[in-house]
Amino acid sequence: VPFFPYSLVKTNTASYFLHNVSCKFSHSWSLAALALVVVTGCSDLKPVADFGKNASGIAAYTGVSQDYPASLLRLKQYGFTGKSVSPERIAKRAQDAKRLSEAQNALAAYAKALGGLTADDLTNYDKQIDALNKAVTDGKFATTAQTAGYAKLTKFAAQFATDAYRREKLKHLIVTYNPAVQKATTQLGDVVKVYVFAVGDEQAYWASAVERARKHNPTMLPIINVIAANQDQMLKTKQNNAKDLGNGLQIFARGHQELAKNIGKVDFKVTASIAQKYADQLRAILSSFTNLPTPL
Amino acid sequence: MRTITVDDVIELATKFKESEAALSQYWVRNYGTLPDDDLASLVAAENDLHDNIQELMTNAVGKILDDAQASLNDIKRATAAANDAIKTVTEVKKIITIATSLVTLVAAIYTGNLVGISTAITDVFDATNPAPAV
Repeated sequence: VPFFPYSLVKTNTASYFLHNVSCKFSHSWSLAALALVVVTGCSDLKPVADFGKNASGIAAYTGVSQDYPASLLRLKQYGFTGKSVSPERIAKRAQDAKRLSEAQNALAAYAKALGGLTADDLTNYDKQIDALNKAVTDGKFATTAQTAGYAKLTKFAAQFATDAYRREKLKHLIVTYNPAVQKATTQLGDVVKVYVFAVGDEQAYWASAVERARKHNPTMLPIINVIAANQDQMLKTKQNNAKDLGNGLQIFARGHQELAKNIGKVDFKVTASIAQKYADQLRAILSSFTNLPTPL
Repeated sequence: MRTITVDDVIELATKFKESEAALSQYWVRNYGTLPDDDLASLVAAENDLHDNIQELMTNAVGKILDDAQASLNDIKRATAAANDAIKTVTEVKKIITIATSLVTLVAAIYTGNLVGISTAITDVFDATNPAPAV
């Protein structure tokens, strides 16, 4: 299933320039004004940049994809021997984790490009589009032919980087990618929900195994208790971080949906305030991620 | 007919997890009083249930339920009855029978065996409320 709907990208770059850009710069004074804009940047786009930056930070959290197969391996370490921890199941989880990681990479690269388009410094924007296209081809969400076409459309003509030009590009980016963003965040969110449950299930199994160990080895209680407390803390942290990732993905999807619905239809100040609201929520989520305790 | 969603699976698995926890608590409460064979059977039943909950999480999303034969609510009611029984029943053999019937129910769900789900629900209710001896 294609991840990003490149078939929806119908804007023609040449006609775009003819209708929206070149006519605005037919006077020499416009070029002077343009130079001023490029030098001073576009501060009213900062909320959108923050929204993209914070979303990319959340989407780039790798804890869940890394731990998805590892959680089955831990069950084996606890002494569990059922079919759900067979090598086939672990291999399948590893495959799923790779897909999850690729989807996260694509989403993070998209959010980064979203932020990059609005940033004061545009020197890295083309590289961000290249990174986005690499992420979507690595994840087999699009072909290289499709991404080449999209790169032509999205790469920046820095000399035309007025606020109006950026806003138009931004609208195009957000509206075009919104269905894919919604689909990707839902799919990722579902995997995260399953993972959160799986870690909870692991906690329950671990607690049960610890209780049995306590009954069988009463003289080793102090050691068992220390190991149990450390493992409990690690599992709780993993679960809380995964919940944060799930919440962050939901907020990103909601914010992106609202931006797609409003951008170009309301005053840009309203769009910016929507972006700011969700950027703040995403920042709060980012700051709540916790480092894992060191395993004993 | 309805398709089982991720949220459905998590809700069902949470109920089955309560059964797993109740089995574990029964084991702890009765350690030292039950014979080793019974304790081992309880652990085996708990492990079977745990194993099948994991399989449910991996395989049940997208499976079809035929509400005419057995609805999601029927499954939830049967599981709730089993959870109550495991917490209140004292006889170990009966607890193991209930756990076994739950394992069959979970397996029927994730394999998409519609007739099996219906039969397993009946078996769970039978295990929790057996007909009085005559």
